[in-house]
Amino acid sequence: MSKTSRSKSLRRRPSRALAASIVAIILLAVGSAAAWISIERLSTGAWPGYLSPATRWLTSLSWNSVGLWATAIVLAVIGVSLLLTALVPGKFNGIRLQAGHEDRDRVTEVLLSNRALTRLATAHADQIDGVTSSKATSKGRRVHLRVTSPLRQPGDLRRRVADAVSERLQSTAPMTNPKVGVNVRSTDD
Amino acid sequence: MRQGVGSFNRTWLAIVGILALLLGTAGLLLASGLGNKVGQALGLPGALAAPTQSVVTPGVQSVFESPAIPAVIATAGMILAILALLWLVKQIPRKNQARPLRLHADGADGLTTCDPQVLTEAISQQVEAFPGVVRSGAVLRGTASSPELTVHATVSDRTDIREVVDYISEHTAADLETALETPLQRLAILLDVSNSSRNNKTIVL
Repeated sequence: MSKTSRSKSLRRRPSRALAASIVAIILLAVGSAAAWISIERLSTGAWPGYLSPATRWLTSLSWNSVGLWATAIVLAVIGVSLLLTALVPGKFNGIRLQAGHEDRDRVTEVLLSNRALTRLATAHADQIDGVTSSKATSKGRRVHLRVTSPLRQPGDLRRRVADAVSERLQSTAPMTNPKVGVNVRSTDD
Repeated sequence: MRQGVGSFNRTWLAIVGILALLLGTAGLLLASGLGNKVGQALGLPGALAAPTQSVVTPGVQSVFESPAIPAVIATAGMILAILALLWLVKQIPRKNQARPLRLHADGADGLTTCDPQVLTEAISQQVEAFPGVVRSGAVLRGTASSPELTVHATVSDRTDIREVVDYISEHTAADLETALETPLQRLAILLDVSNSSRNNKTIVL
């Protein structure tokens, strides 16, 4: 049985697949072009003619020319961006819920995705009297709701929404309870 | 539910990033003329190119006229292209489902194997039959003697999530254990919530 057929943890940080795909495509293009041009040079005995403008530009380049400054700056910026992409962990894809029934031998992991968390929060907030619409975002263990209300004086609406959504989220039995923050905006604003 | 390659990507992005940053920094040091000062401060022997000097010197040009260089570049280019292609292919998320489970492997009596998809389809159907579950999928990993089950259930926003978790944990997983005649090593449940009720048309009475 191959090693990869085992399960991995459901709770993960972003895999950086988009950045990796872009870099891989660029490296693939550079490698293929270098191989193609070199094979052409080996078969014909001369560097291809379409390289002449690039060669002329390179031979005219001095170390303090604008082209080299720009290339060096672009390379440094790309390097820092890639390093940040690799080193910044990013947020987890969800929160762990209690597995329950600990009497069994097996390891049980239950994960509520971030999307599920925000949808639960908005669906529950939308049912509260005084809420026209709501939009939720989650960041780590925080869920933030932006609520619009037709009320000119929202009064304790913020607290009511926060309490109701907290209660709903706690009913899923998360390992650590998410903190709920609410902003109320009147539709008259 | 599909498995990615997070740590692999991060390692190679960091390596490519460090190389790009080193090249960029070297270019900036040479362009500004600080390269020599840094080299002297570090006690490095020899002098670097002056900022006004041409990047492609006659020495560099003669290197590219050497007959061995195209072969070296072609080989390096092909290796780079192959590695990049493998990296790109690795981005495709995989289920990594178990191979056909060998339920009975006594050579004298014959072999009994079971395609894991048969079991995962039955699991999905059972979970989808539970009230409030909109969609479900399952992946079975490991072996027949140490199976690991991952279930992805999408529920409606009014469903009691604890009931779904308990049902999968106590009934679905238990049924699979009965079918395989062995306890599960690992059970993973990924829960999503559909916003179908938000999209439903409201009836005003």
